[in-house]
Amino acid sequence: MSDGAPAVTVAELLHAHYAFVYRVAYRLSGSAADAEDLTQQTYLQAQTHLSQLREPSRSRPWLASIVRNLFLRGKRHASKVVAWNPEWEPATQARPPEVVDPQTLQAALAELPEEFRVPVVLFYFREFSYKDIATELGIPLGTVMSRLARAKAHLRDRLSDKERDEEPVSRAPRRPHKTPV
Amino acid sequence: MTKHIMDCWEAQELLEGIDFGAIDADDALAVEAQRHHAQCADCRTAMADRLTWNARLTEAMSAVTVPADLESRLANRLGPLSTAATAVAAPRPARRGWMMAMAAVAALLLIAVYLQPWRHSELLTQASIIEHIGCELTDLKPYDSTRWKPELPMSWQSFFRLQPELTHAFPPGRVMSKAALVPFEFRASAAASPIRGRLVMIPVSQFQNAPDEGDFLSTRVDYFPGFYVCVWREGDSVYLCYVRSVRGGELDELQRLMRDSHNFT
Repeated sequence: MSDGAPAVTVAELLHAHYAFVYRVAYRLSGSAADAEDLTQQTYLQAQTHLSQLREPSRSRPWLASIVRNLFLRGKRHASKVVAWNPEWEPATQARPPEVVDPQTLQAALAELPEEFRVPVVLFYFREFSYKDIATELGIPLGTVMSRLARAKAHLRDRLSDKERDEEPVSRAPRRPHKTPV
Repeated sequence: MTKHIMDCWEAQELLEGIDFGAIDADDALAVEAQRHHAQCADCRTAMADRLTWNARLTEAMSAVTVPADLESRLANRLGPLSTAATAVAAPRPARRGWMMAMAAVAALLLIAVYLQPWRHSELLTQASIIEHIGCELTDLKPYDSTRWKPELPMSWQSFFRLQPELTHAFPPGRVMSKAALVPFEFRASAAASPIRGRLVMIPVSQFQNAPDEGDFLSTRVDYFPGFYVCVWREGDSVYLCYVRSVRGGELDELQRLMRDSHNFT
């Protein structure tokens, strides 16, 4: 297609990715009603700005960016503020459970402030590189890594297999401890 | 120049990034992390757990039950707009023949204003405007333009004139209004559903945290349950456009209609 028109239509984007968009929206918002609202708004925005989708292969990250923007815009008007717990250290090495309970995961995500929740959700949906996340959020790469590390540490802590954690495990050193190699 | 010494934490974060495809394996830091990993027994032990964690969390993150009829419900809501969007994205004819009769008809009415001076500290905010914008027009008095003369946004001026009888003092319950409100109704064609809303014009000095300079056609639309809002600034005026949502996407649609019909007079 040489006229610059996108090779995909909104209808195709809807059919191929609505479940993905809904899942990202749900993980960000924590509510089925909000997730559906966000999904609808995402597609409304997508059709308005469809010409901005240069590469159809990038449809998912493009849609995820719209969800993320809509979610953060909505949060700007909300008054709820969650404080970051400084005890969530990035080097926690809790043992993984056999299965992660999705509801517990959602509860753990809800405890994270948006600036930590958004990158970790984007990260685990595997649609964004660190650089993409940095660009999306307008923050330096190092900040992305730092926020991701803290957010992942929090999730591991909340979801870890506590019984197995009673056993001695090899733990990585905490952040300030430099180990030159 | 100090040589960068990578610690275990940083190495493991980078190695996770490589595993996820979030960082290129041949990136300089990634190469350093892999070298560290090869030489550090602690990291090799810890990474096994980390990769298991990542697999579990990736799987759990996507484990969200999607409502069975979501796609059809979304398609129903987006249906008419979806067609329009395809048309927008497609190359436009040199001069579109479809005579979109964009009629700017502002509903009008009488009002009641209470006169009680604004305290200087009571600047309007987006939230305070939204709180009152759904009021009955009959609760508003005619706007007194001797204090400040409101003007329509540039992109609106082709479509209608700001008639004094359509211009209301806003918000309600104030002696002297800080802002002017006009109700509007646009139709893309005689048969199309109207897009109804209200436009508030505010002197920038009366608005808290005025947005950056912009214009209606490129201003982002915020959705709230049941209505849409966008706020922008042109020169000394801040504008807030409010549209109730019936079928979804009305304010985006209004922007698109105005954008596409710039030749329409």
